[in-house]
This record gives sequence, C-alpha cells and structure tokens, in this order.
Amino acid sequence: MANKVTLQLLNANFINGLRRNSRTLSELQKQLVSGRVVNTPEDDPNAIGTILLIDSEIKRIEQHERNTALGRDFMNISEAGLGQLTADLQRARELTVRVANGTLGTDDRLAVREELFQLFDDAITVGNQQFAGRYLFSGTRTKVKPFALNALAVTYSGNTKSILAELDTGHTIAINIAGDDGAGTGVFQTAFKAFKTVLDAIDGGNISAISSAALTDFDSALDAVGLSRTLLGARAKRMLINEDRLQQVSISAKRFRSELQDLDIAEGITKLTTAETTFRAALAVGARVLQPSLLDFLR
Amino acid sequence: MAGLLQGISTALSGILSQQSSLQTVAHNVANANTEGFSRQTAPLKATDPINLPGLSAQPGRGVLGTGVRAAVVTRNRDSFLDLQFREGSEQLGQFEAIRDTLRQVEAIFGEPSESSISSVAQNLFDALQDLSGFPEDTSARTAVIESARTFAFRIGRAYEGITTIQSDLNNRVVAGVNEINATATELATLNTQIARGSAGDSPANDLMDRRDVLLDDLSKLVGIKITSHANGEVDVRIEGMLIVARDKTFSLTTAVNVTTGFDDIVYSPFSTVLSPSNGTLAGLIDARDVKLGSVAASTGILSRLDTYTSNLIAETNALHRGQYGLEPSGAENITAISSVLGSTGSYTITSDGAGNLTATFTPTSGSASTAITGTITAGGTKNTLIPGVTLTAAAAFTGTTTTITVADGLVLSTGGDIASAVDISGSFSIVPDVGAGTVAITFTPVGGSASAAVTKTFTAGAANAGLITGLTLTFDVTADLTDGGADSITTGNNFFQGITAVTGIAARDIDTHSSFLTSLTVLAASSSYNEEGDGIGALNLSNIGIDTFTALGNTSFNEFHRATVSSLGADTRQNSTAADNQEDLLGLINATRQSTSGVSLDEETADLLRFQIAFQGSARVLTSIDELLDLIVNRLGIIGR
Repeated sequence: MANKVTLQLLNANFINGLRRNSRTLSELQKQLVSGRVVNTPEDDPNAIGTILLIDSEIKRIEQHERNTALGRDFMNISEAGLGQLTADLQRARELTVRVANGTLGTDDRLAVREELFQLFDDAITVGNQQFAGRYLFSGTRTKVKPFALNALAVTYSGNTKSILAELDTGHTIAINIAGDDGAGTGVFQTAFKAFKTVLDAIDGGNISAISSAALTDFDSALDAVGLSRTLLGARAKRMLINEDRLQQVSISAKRFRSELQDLDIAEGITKLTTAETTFRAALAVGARVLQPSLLDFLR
Repeated sequence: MAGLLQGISTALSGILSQQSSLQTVAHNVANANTEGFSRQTAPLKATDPINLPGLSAQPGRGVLGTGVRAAVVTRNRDSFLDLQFREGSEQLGQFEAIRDTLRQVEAIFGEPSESSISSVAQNLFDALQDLSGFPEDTSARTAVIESARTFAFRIGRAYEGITTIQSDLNNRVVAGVNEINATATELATLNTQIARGSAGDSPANDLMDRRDVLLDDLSKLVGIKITSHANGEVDVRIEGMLIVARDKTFSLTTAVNVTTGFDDIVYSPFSTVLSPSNGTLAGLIDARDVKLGSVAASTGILSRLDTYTSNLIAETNALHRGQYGLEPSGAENITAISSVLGSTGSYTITSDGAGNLTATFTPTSGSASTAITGTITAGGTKNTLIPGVTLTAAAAFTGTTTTITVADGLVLSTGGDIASAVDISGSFSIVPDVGAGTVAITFTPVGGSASAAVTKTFTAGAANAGLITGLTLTFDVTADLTDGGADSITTGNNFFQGITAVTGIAARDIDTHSSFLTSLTVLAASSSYNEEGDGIGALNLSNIGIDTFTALGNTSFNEFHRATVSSLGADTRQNSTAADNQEDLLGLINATRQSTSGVSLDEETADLLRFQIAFQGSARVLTSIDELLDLIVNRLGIIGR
C-alpha cells in the first residue's frame, strides 16, 4: 500500500469509485427498465445462443399453431360440405326407393326426377364450394373449378393430390379431400355416379336398374362420404391434440427463455438498493475525506 | 578558534538554504494539480567543515561546521513504476479499441431484439410458412416479398454499418500515426532542452516531467521501448524501429495496402511496414483487419455475414428455381424444359398449330428488353435465337416432339460424359411418349456425331440429373404445343439477387429478385407445376433456416448466425473484462506512483512549517551573533571611560 496518500490520489480513488458505482447503477437500470438480464450478446455470451434458438423456436411453434388453425378451418368447411352431401345422398336414396317401387304415376315420377336432379345439382354446388377463394375439393388445383355438369356426366378438372399443412417441423398432414381419387372411389365421384345411374334409369324407364344398380351406387356413395368424413374427423382430432401439445411446448419454451433472459424483479430491486447504498456511501465518504486539510488547523 | 564572523556566514547559509527549501515547497504546492508533476525536494547538506588546529581539547586538529546548503533539486520519481504504468497502458489501449469496436458491431446486429438480423430472418421464414398454408393468396405473397425485402435491407445495412466502422477505424489509425509523429517531434525538442539543462547544474525536472507525460500518452497509443542516455536524453523505439534518437526524429507514414484497401503503417526511413503489437493502434488494426476482417480474405465478422448471406442466396435460389409459381390466368400447360441448371430465365413457347414455334427467352438477370423472339418452321433450326438456347424443330413436326438446343452461356461442371467443358453446345431432343408416360431425352453434342448422343428415358414429371453431369432437367408432359395457346414457364427465377459482378459481395448487394417488382405470381410456392394449392414449395423455402448445409459446416443458417452472435458476445466480453482488469491494475500502479511522486498538501504544509521555523531559528542565531558583536564592539573596554 502506498505510504503517502496525496489529495490527487484520494480524488482519483473517489472519482474511480463513483464511476464504477454509476456503471453498476446504469447496468441495473438497463436491466430493470427492459426487464431482462441479457440485453446484448456481451451480457451473457453462453446464454445468447440458446436465447436466440428458443426465440426462433417459439416463433415456429406459433407458426405451427397458425398452420393448425388454418388447416382446421379448411377441414371444418370441408366437413360441412360433406355433411350437406350426405343429406343430399340420403334424400336421393329415399326418393330412389320410392321410384323403385314402380307404383308412381308419370307426373309423380317426373316430380321425383326433378327433385333428384336438384339434389344432383346441389351436390355439384357442394363440390364446387370455395373457402377464401380456394376450391375445397379440387386437390391442389385450388384455383380451378373442379366439377362441371355435361349431360348428366360430371367432368373433374382438379387433381388427386393432397394439400399439406405443416403441424410440426417435418410433419405434414393432408387437410383436403380430393373430389376424385383417380381410382373411381372418390367421394364426389361415387355420388355423381349414383345420381347419373338413377337419372339415366328413370329417363330410360329401367325400373330394375333403379332398384338394383342405383341403390347399390347410393349405398357405396354414402359409404364413401362416410369414410371421408371419418377421415376428416380423425385428422381434425389429431390437429386438436397437436394444438394442445403445441400450446404446452410453447409455454415451457417461453418459461425457459424467461429463465435465461428475464430479470428476477425482486433480485434486481435488491441489487439496485445495495448499489444505491454503496453509491451514497461513496459520496458521503468522499465529502468527508476530501475536505480536511492541515491548513484548517493552523491558527 | 572560529570567530564570530564565521557564525554570521553559518547562520546566513541556514537562512538561504531554508529559503530555497521554502521555494521548493512553494513550487510543489503550486503544482499540486499539475498532470505528471513529480514532487521536488532540495535535500539540505552540511557544507564542508573547516579544520581548526586549536579547536579540540585534545592535541591535533578540530573540525568546525560551516553551515548548510541546499543540494541539487531532485524529483521523486520511480522509473520502474513508469515502465509498469506504460506497459499496462499499452494493453489497456489495445483492449479498449477492440472492445469499443465489437460493442458497435453488437449494436448493429441488434441481438436480441425484434429488429435483429435473426428476428428479421425468422419473419421471412414465418411469412413463407403462412404462404404455404395459403399459396394462392396475393396478400400472403406480398407478405413474403416484403419480409424478404426487409431481410435483404437489414443484411445490407448491417454490412454497410460494419464497413463504416471499419473505415472509421482506418481513419483513427492514420490519425494515430500523425499523433506519433507530432509527439516524436516534441520529444526530440524536449530531449535537446533537457540535455542543455543537465549540462549546466540545473536539472530539468519540470521538462522531464513533461516528457514523461508525453511518453505516457504515447505508450497508450502504441507499444514503445525507451532507452536513456547519461545526459538525460531518451531514445524511443516502436517495434525495434527508432522513432526518436536524442534530438532527431524518424517519421512514420501510412500507405494504402493494395490487398485490404486500408492503410498500413510504414516506417519512412526503411519504407517497411510496421505492425504495432501493443497499444491502441494495435487494437485498432486488429479490430479493423481481424475482428471485422474482409470478405475477400475470408476473415472476421464481415466474412461470417457474407458466408451466411451468399449461401442463403444460393440455397434459396436453387430451391426456388426448381419450384413453380402461379400460372398466369388463361395460360396452358406446356411441354418443355422447365428448369435447366445454369441457364435461368423464362421461356415462352407458342405454336400456331401448323407446326411453327415461336420461342421467347427472357433471361433471369436481364430485363424484358433483352428478350429475344424467333420463329422456326418445322424441320428448321434456329441457333441464333438466343445465345444460350437454340430451338431446333424436328423434321416431321407433329407437336409431340420438341427439340431444344443449349448453346453458349451454359456453365457445366465437368465429369461424366464431358471431360472438360465450360461452355457446352449441343442439342437435347425430347420425345414424350404420352401413352407410356415416359420421356426419351437425347443429347447430341454440336461437334460430335450421332453416335456420341446419349439417350435416357424416364417418367414424365420426374427430374433426371444423371443424363449429363451438371444438368438437371424436369419435364411436364401433360399438354402439348399444338393447341396454339401462349405458354410460359415461371421457374428458373431466382428468389434473391445480389451477386451482380465478379467483385460483388452478397452481404452488401443482396436484394429480392427484380421479377418480384412486377409480378407476385413468379414467387414459386408450389413444388409441382400447375398445382397452385400446393404450398410445399413455400414450406421448403421456410425450412432453409433450420436445414443443415455442408457449405456452413453441416450447420443450419440459424445455428450459423447464432454461433456468430455468441462468439461476438464472448469476444466483446473477454476484451471488456480484460480492459476493466487492466484499468484496475493501472489504478493500482498509479496509486503507487502517486505515493512516490505526488504532492501531498499536508506534507508540504508540514514542510513549510519546518522550514519556516528553521528560517526563524537561523535568523535568531544571526540576531544573537549580532548582539554579541554589538557587545564586543560597543560595550567592551569602556570601563572607566
């Protein structure tokens, strides 16, 4: 230790101490104002990488939540459309059964045919349903109107592909039901085939075809639509589970980030109080040490 | 026996010496707050005694003191402490320069915050994810393009910001050299004055203090070695090179380094480059050349930023080129090469149904005005149509056979069937067999014979990279050219542009592709042609941030950037901790130095009292002798008068 203490030295020590205390205070102020311990990479070089990783992870999770919500909307609308199609098919089947009796008069049969045709048309409308400007049932050709009626035959302009939504990194799920699966067992395909069969049979006066082929076609159409609705239901369930899981992951990721990055307010305030006390003490000590001089005591 | 008169001179010497000491105290007090001032003392020494034979009671000689004199005024200074202080201050200067630079870079990167590079990149990837959920949507496309622009802008500004710091560092290096030269001149002048002072008997204490202050300042700027001469002059060396030799100076100058574009420090006498290893200058140069570095030399932060950017551009573009945008309304399917690696642009191929083809090629990097259109009749060949691509129609053109010739301008890697080829010319004959769902592709080199042709058959819609090394061809054979509609292929576009010239720097020049300025449909969000509802293309693009790439050492872009930020933080912290420690150490050395050289007012006041009282004492002795003389002269021998 120095054997002589000069005023300059006392002064330098005093100013040094004040500067250091102010730096601590300013650091604590930055932390308390931002609520974060880590404000620059320099503050904690070890944690910063993890913080950035979790930041992007949280954003990804939120993104996947959004994807899931959008996919569920798409599926809900599709499901509503398929529900309508089921109702159409059921009503059409009832009417087919009535026509199959062969006891209806010509007028009645024409009335039933008209109703069947309206149901057919409604089914096509369902097939051409849009959601936010996208056709629901045309595969990935969502800008193309999938179904067009041409002399009781329906042409399909869509494709058989699936629209995929990413539920989690690397995991996608199909959110659509293509109107045509290319194998003749697509949901709208079988429905339109049934309508065509019954209408052709009525127009051709072929009662036996109505009772056999048409009813079988309607049954398989109802099976197909039932299967598709089950499929949608199962996928919707998976998305719901996924949404729950994402929420939980999101919460724990946010908690982890908070642990790394956020300031414990109580600890921060305690530190601030300590720093403030030190600062005040330094000022008080400086005021007492710097003043006295031998000159004060000479005569 | 000494006389009374001898006592007068002894007392006088006391008065004069104390007076001189008082003068020294006054000088010390006056300079109590002068920077670099060393406390001066004038040690008192007894004057040589005189020998008086009769003084001693013993036989032999006696010795009588003759008073006091103030010896040479010396300054209290410990040159070892100076050495320590200067070494410490050299290192402090170096750490501070690096720390301050890295802190600026940290601020430019802005991590962690909403406006940081990683946040902006994440926003782009998120926008692409949103687009993948709704690829037909114009607003989702706009959001992607806008966030891509923000990302490109953010990277560009960061690069610019760092280069601004770099040129500022360079200016400070040049200013530092000027300061060294100015200080050297001043030191040489002081050397001369000090030598002159020492030659007489008045040591140039105050001048030496001033020189020490200059040396302290200089040592913070650059590491120096000091050697002293007997006459008080000093020599100063920087990295072994003499800067000051007694009263002479050797100047430093700066010269622009052709490789780095920044200034080197040059030792004028030898015209050799001088690289300081210590001091602020060393820190500035280290920060400028190593920490910030350069893209060309693959060093420092700039290179990291550029590696990140250029690879991101390359990977995004490669992915984007192989994907599909929205088809313009009214356009139809086409049969053509949908992507040729190395030759990017948009082909519009129209046939009139009578066997005539009109092909227009708009290069990716060019504008619409550079598009070239030409018409070929069946059986004709057109190789001047476009420098890069020539269409040759088959002799019996039916619309199901298209021949596309690739000529100049195509850069291919070597290997496989081609031993060495930079520009390759040849023709691809593409024959789709719609019934079988296959495509037969034949490549016939221009200079080769028909036997050199390579044919490969593959399924429609598939890509074949094995036909010729360096080429990947993807085909769509769902429609033909005979229907007379205008078709266009929008793949082959880049997502980003930036590397405009050979000297282009990706991080500086990055921008979204110019085609996005006029069209949103060219944004390729689909992985398959003509499937506007398929968002897998956008999903692929959004995964670029987390996919690993060999070019980045098997890390992902996000990881690569995180590593940059982490090491930046660690580096800053290391230098700032070192600077703090060095500051503490310097404080300690300075305290020790102060305790030797500093002026304590209390001590001086005590000395003042001491010398004042001694002065009074000497004066009292003089008065006493005076009274004695008066007694002898005026009152002795007057009895009986």
